[in-house]
Amino acid sequence: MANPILEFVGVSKKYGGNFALQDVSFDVRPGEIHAILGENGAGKSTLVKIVSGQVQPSAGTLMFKGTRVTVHTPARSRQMGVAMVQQELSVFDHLSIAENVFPDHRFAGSAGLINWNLLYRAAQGACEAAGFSADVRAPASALSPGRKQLVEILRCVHSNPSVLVLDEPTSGLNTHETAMLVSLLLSLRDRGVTVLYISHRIPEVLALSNRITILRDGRERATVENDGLTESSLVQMMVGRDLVSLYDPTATKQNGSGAASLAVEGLSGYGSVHDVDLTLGEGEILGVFGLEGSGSFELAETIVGLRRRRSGRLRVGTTVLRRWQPRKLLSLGVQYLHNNRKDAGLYLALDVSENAEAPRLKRLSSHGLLNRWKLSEVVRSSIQRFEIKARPRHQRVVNLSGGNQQKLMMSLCLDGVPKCFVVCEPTRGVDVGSKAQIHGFLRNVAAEGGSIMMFSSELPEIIALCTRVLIMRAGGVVGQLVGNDITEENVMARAAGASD
Amino acid sequence: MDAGYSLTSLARSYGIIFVTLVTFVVFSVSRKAFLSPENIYGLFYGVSLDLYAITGFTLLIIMGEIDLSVGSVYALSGTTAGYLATRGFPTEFGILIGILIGFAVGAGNGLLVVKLKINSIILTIGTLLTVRGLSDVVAATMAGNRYAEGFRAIARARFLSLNWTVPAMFLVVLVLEFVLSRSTSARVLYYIGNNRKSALIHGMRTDATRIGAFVLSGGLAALSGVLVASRITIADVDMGRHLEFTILTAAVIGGASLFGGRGRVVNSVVAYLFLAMLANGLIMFGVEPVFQQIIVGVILVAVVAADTQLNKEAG
Repeated sequence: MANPILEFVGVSKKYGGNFALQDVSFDVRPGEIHAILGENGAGKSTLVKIVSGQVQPSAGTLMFKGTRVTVHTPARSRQMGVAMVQQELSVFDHLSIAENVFPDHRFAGSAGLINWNLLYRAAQGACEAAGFSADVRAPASALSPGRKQLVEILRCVHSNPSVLVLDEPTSGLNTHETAMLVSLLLSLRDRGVTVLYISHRIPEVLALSNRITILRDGRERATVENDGLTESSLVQMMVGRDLVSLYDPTATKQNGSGAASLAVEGLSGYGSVHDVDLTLGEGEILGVFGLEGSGSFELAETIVGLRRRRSGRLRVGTTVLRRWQPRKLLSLGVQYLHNNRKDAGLYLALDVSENAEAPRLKRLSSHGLLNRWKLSEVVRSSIQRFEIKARPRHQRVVNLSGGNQQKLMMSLCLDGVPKCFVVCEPTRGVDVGSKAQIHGFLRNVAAEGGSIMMFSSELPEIIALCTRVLIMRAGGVVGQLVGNDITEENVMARAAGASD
Repeated sequence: MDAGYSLTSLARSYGIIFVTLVTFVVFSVSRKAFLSPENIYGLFYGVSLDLYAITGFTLLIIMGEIDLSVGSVYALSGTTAGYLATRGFPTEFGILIGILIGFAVGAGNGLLVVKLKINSIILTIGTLLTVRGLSDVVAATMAGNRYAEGFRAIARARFLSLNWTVPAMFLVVLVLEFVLSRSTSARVLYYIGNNRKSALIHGMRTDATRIGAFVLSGGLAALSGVLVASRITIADVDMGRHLEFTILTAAVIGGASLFGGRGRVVNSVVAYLFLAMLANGLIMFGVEPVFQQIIVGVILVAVVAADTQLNKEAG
């Protein structure tokens, strides 16, 4: 057996008092596709950052081709031939697709001038080999997010890496694009490139990898050959005992009483949302699922009044609205949880207490002046109720863990029971424990008569919580599934447009 | 991590006060003329006139916007008020028109920034030039003439044997400190400055608040302009030139962030006093104004560099 190209020996990483990674040891063999599988918060991203040199391990060593790597930096990592495809897009929007695939000066002549013909031809070839056709002279901004991701992957592939690292590469891809990526990676492996593939999507990992390392809560649970493995055995290793309580199919689902608490009629936005009608019943948890680019989060933002509308009406209880903003909806009891807490929903540079007072300014004041006593009382009880681990007056929100940030953001929406709660990606980037808690909060809202419209890209979450699911594609609602028909296969088929 | 955070915020809150006190002591010990009551009083009097422009500017910075037209508005409003009074209109009428001009320019800035989503730096450079042109026309008409007696009396009115603006300054700063920390409408400025989309999600009137802050900034710059015009006796083409940069420097030295969400009016005022003191003291050391701007420039760069470093360490 060949010597490992990469080897982790007892690697740990500590952030503050918490271990993101603890005593992780495994090796990656040359020419294999090695998958790292784990839930959000299992430590996958930290592992990637250690390989790419962005983060130094607190303990343990990283070996590359049998030599110990000391003082690992991003530049050093690139020198060793490690190429990274990051989770966040880093495409140059205003440059052509060709320049994005080959950002180096590979096609420069002796005078340092670029040979454009050569560049375009090479880029065209690269795209075709990967199975997608595009005008490589067009700016990258014209591409869909999924295509941008593919361009980024092509760039890494063509930097001739010895190890290609992909961090959740399919999170922005639709089924077709995922298939393109899979065949591209398999052809790379045949050419002898080692691939480190980080994902929490079991089917892809099973289809692609030679070996799989499973991380849970920062520890390596197993490294196994992909031979005779089943999805359920992997899930077992990945989630551990928590699975039963997390996605318990027998947990009570709220059916709703039938009376509509919120209705959307003929809603169209500019560009991404077309002619949407939907009704949300009292006490119901309605799921809305769409792949990247389907316009699902745009629909959520349009409903709550964060985006401009072309046409449409909104009915909240008995109130019919033609014009509205978040402020108006809040007064009618409609709360909104944003899909990305780094973008909006919190004030990252402020402390917990200041965050907690923001949505309650009016309630916590008399004669236009803040009542500090009432404020600290409300903050304390809210932090307790949502089990947020933080010191309200001393900790800036940016320094909290993802789970605590997410719970804080949710606590800002849930002073009482909202009449209607529009929730986007409620458990994005949180640990398993917080995830179960957040699902508990949502179930409570529905049990107490509030209705929830949940936009999520995590199908297991939708299946666990919702009794009815709307599927979006190309800015419109293209299907609805109810009860036992809500399965991953059914939802994905409709979302990807396989059948209607 | 937490210790770094509190140390950082301590440096931001009180650093400028400390530096100003040290500067004061150094100049007082080394130059007798500096410590004379007339000199000290002159410094405070000067700041007490510009106070209103500094306040409006700082509120905008906290909200994450900038108004570079303050110097021009200050000049146009002051010169126009004086011009009208000199032309025989009632003094009050001149003042009213001067301040209305400020509100109007502010409203224009605010509406364009909010409704057309124009970057406020670029937009207010445009208004800076436009309004300066108008103000130059008025100043040229007045050239060399003294303002009317009644108009000149405003900044010279006395209260407890002081120019009234000096005690007013202390009162205004005290009230503002209280209001900015407790008033919900002022807190909204901080939230918008930190994350406008979050503020919108949390039900704050972001558009109206942003426009309102621009209107206020224009009006307050006009008020300062009227007071200063009244003090300077003779119409001056260079009135308020580069004032926006001096105030901007003061706000940043006082701990405000150009990205919004951070800043205190009292710190901007103290920092402005510091800059005035520095100019005053350096002249006594025979340092030419040409070299003074080099010193101020270096201080600004040093403060920003230190602040960025502190920010990094605080995570």
